[in-house]
Amino acid sequence: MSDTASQLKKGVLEILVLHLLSRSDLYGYQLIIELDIRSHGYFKMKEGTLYPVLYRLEDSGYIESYWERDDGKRGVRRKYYRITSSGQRKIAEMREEMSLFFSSIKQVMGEDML
Amino acid sequence: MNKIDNYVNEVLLHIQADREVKHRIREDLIASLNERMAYASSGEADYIISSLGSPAEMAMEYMNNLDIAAPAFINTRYEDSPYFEYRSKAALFGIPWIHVKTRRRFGHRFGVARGIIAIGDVSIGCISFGGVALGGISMGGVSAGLCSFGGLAIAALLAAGGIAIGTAALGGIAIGLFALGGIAVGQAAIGGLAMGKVTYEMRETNSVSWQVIQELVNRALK
Repeated sequence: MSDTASQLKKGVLEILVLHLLSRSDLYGYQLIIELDIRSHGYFKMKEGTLYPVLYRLEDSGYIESYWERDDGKRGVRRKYYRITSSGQRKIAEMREEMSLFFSSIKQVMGEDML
Repeated sequence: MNKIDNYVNEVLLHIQADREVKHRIREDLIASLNERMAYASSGEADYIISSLGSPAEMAMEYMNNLDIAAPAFINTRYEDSPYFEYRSKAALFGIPWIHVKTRRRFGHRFGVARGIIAIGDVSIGCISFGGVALGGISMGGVSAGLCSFGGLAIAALLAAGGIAIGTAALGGIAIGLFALGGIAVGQAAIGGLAMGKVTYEMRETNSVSWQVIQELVNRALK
């Protein structure tokens, strides 16, 4: 992966994770799968990238975690993450910022962007 | 211990973070790798683990991303007194042969080293060196063990230090069965001020011969 791609991905990961959690509670590996599938493999990541993002969001109070046991025959414990009200406000603010960010880039780069 | 646990332990060996962070990583990484196992068509731990890269690579990825989380994981004075940990891979009954851990200003807690040879802010081992050292042979500001040396040394056998307490104690203040020191308290005591069953005070002479010590010990043991 190029440096540019890596930096761009890091920059938007918090927003993407918060966005997915604003739709439903998810556990770590589910987030990895969701990001991979929805981005058609562009956001394919490992635990070493995802969990520090989750820790940061959790420590900032934007998400919280809880354990739940799987109902299936495996019966494993899963750590789910859910967005907090502070996280909801944050993602709304992030969406606005992102929209402004992209529109500003588009104004500068115009057709060269695509 | 299964392959996933082994892999996670290997990853953690390469991560420099305090206990809470490591605990968090261990718990989540094990849970996530188990999920990967369940989702994978082959379900083989070897296949899952090899797809993640080596433990060192995974640890590096964590460290690179944890660094971004500076307020939570890195103290602003980190550079002045860095957290340091080394744990030898070779171990005896799960205890590393060498464990070094210092964390003076990292997370505001002491680094506790546990190993056959342990060196740390607090060290626990057969041979231990540290601010507080506990073990067979221990040396430190405060040390306790079979043979201890330090500012305050407490030992089952031999203690030597500013204040020494042990079967045989040597120090500024020595308390023991056999005590030798500025102030010596014991069954057999030799010192500037000696208190005990058999005493020898060195108020006028600054030296004591080996013969005198032997005689005192013999008398004390009678």
